Amino acid sequence: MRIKEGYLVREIADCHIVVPIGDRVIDFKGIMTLNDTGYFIWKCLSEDIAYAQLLSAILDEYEIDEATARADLDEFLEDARQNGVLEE
Amino acid sequence: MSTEIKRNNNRLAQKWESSEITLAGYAAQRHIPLGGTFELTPRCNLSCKMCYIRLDKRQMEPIGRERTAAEWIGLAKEAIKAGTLNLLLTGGEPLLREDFAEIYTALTMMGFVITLNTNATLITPEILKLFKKYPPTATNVTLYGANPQTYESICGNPEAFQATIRGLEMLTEVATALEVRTTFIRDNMHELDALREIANRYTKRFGINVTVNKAVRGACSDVENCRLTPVQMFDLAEANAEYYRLLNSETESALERNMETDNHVQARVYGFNLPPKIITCLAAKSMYWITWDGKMLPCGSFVSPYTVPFEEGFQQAWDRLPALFEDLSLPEECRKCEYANGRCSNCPAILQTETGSLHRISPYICEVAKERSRRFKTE
Repeated sequence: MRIKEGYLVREIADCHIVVPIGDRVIDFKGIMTLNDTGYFIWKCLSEDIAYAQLLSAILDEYEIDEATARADLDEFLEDARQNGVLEE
Repeated sequence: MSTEIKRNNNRLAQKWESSEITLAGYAAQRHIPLGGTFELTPRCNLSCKMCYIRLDKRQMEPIGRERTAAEWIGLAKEAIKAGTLNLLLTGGEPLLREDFAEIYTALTMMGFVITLNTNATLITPEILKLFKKYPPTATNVTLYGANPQTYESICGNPEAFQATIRGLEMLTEVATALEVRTTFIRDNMHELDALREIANRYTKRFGINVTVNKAVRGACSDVENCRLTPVQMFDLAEANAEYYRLLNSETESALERNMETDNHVQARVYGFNLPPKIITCLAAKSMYWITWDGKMLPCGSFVSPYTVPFEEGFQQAWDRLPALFEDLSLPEECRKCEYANGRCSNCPAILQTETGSLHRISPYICEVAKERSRRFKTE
């Protein structure tokens, strides 16, 4: 899975904000903000990556247990699916 | 990025999301120019009698020149770097520019959330094709009358009514958040229901503007002979609010948009103790306006002072802007007025527009505040 093309993450006022560009405005309205973990996952998803690899990357980056990492990741993916930004 | 900064970012983001402060307020506390307006031209194919901005070519010449497409695109790149997210493209009528498509196409690829203000009369098949491919996130269409006669009376052109309707029909094919907006003056004040009905054929979003101020920056209008009295203003706003109340639906009621009330409330909500203190809203704090000839102002209702972003660079122009207003203050009568704490917005831009200076009070603004106070007490 990966993030579809046509999105920029803009760092504005200490926040990471997902902005659609060009024809992506057709699919994506409103604002999606990313917290620290969300931005890390987003960057990992800029290239095609499997769920297990993503989970492993989060565990390498943060000092958290697997259950917490999995919960964070699942929450992000659900949000990304709802916003239609994920290509699977 | 260090872990500490990451954690800090995370906390800040959470703080913003969980607070009642919008991103605009959050940006204001950091002096980020989050919301901007590019006033691409003062020219318009309509000649509305209450328009505060319209100039024809002859009037423009002694004032300045329209900035080129390359200049706007270059400035937009600088605005992105400085942190602008929301960008309003307006005029005059922006679609009147022959190079509109060139400017617009470039801006859509930069990472702005774009809103377009248009009278919709100039939406050609080519423009429709462009918007279908790259839609503005939001489009605000002005609708001035419910029939050709009212358009003739207000805009000097009866055919503009059908042209607007055609434009609205075309825009329904575009994936944009469409809002129809009407500015009410004496000529169309009896058409509230008819205008809302027309608007609702195309969108649920119908915004009303009952406040009309004098023209700025060299424009001429007939405002004093056509704008509503304060009583008429609040009567009309109340009639619109009543319509939404009677729908008895929370969802539909949320669509009530009254720019006078909304702006007034916003100014109160965001009354941060941020410089410049004379400005009670977010202008010059997280918002700016760039005029057709290249002046950066806190908002479109100001005339001066200003900075010159095309000459000095966007970031410097933005950074210098608040200080220009720092030593300014409202007239003593305004500061000591019983309506100063909420009943009057104490907006310096409107005062400057109405009186030509920041030193004289405006009887019109006082009457509006008085009427607002009277209505508020009786509610």
